[in-house]
Amino acid sequence: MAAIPTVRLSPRATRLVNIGLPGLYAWYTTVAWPAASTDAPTSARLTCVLALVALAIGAVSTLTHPRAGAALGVLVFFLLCVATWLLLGDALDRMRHETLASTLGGVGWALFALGWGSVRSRAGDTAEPLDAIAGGLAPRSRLARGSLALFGLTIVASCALVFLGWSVVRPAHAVLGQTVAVASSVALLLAAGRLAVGRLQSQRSRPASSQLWSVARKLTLVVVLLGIGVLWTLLGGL
Amino acid sequence: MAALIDVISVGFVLGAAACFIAALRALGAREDLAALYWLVIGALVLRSAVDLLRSGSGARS
Repeated sequence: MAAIPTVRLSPRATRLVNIGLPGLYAWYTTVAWPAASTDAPTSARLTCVLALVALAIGAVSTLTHPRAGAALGVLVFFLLCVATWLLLGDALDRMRHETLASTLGGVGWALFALGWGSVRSRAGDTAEPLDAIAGGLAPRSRLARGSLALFGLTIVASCALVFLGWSVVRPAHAVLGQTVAVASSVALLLAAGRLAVGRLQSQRSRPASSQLWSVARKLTLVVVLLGIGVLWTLLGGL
Repeated sequence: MAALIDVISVGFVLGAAACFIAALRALGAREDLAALYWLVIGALVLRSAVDLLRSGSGARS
């Protein structure tokens, strides 16, 4: 059976990601985005920023002071978000017409709750149980060089796609834009993950010429489409 | 040669990302045909990147 290379994050880093990322997403979709509108009052924007600060400080504080961190990252953060919504008033109405954004924001809040729920059950833990039993699991092989950088770049591109999804403002196409953004982000991440894991294995198992030949048909189609695009642009420019 | 395949496959993934970004920008600019065009190219390029790495005889082009 082929070895599956693994990259381990420390328990502290994993915990930070679990509690910080959903909160950040929920904050962005349901608080920051409405507060960024032109008719939002300054007080709402101030509480919006303070909510983000509370979330960040609370998440980091859980590493050393779980209770204080949870109080800041959950209670204070949530109260500041509520204050922002109250101060926004009519400016919050734009969310009413953005069903998908509101739904995704709700999912973000649910994940936020789940992520912080894990802090309560793990208060006082300093290591993964498996580490304590087995003395740590070492990977059987390593990732090819540059795999992490590639995956990092893909994450950045996926975030850009999600943000660009909001730029589609036509009502009939907004849902399509969000769907395309999410689907293409997921496809990119899956492909990058396969690439990061499979590069080393592929180099050992197949000759390079065979690998190139396997994609010849697709690449030919891409070249034809690009040619058609160039021709279309030239003709349209005349 | 293996390093070249590596570079090509990484380039394909990044190229696919650029195509998807172009597609969304076109959709936002009300250019639906251009959006569809870039989506198709992006999907083909991304699939090629994955197929380049598939080991064994099961790869289909």
